[in-house]
Amino acid sequence: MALENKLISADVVEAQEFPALARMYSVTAVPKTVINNVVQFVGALSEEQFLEKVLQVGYREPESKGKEA
Amino acid sequence: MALLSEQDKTDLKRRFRKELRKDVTINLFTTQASVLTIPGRECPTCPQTQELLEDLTALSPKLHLKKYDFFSQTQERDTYGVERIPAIVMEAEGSPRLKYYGIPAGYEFATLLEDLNALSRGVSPLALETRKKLRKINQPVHIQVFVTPS
Repeated sequence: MALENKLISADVVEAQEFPALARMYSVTAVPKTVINNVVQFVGALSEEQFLEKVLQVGYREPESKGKEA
Repeated sequence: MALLSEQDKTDLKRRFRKELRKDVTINLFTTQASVLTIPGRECPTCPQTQELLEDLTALSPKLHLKKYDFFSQTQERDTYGVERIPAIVMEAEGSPRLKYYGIPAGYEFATLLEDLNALSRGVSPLALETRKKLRKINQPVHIQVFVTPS
């Protein structure tokens, strides 16, 4: 996904090697995905479901600019 | 003990020759083994991670390994936004950086290979529809995936 849009960055974290970080995000099962610290889910999602979660965080309706030319 | 068997190496060499297009740089942030153990600076998986990546990058002229010391090369550390070690930051010309924290062992090794392939070809394996929708993203998104090597 990071390849498709420069605003997306992706890290893989080996949970056992970084227990403090894993604890911070309450990782009790893997794979666990955390998006911008706001959306979290455990387990593998379909591509479509995963995309939905990413859009939830990464897409905002552009504010209406009115009729400025 | 070698982490990659001779058979693995032969298979990977063939695969890389067939699949890789652009050069990919693998930046490894690690720490040098020292006689003294400095509390807070231990990195039990750093030596193995380095060995694995040295073996891997030797298999294709398109793969390049750059090593940095996490504790002394702070400028590079900041440039790449590395927060802990071992850290692997993969990049190709004009590509984003993909980051991997920890040793990519077991199933995660396959993930690393797929990432190398995607970076080298400059395309993700995602469906066209997904890629279209991802272009709409207009806010920064940071995805962290926690895994274990099994």
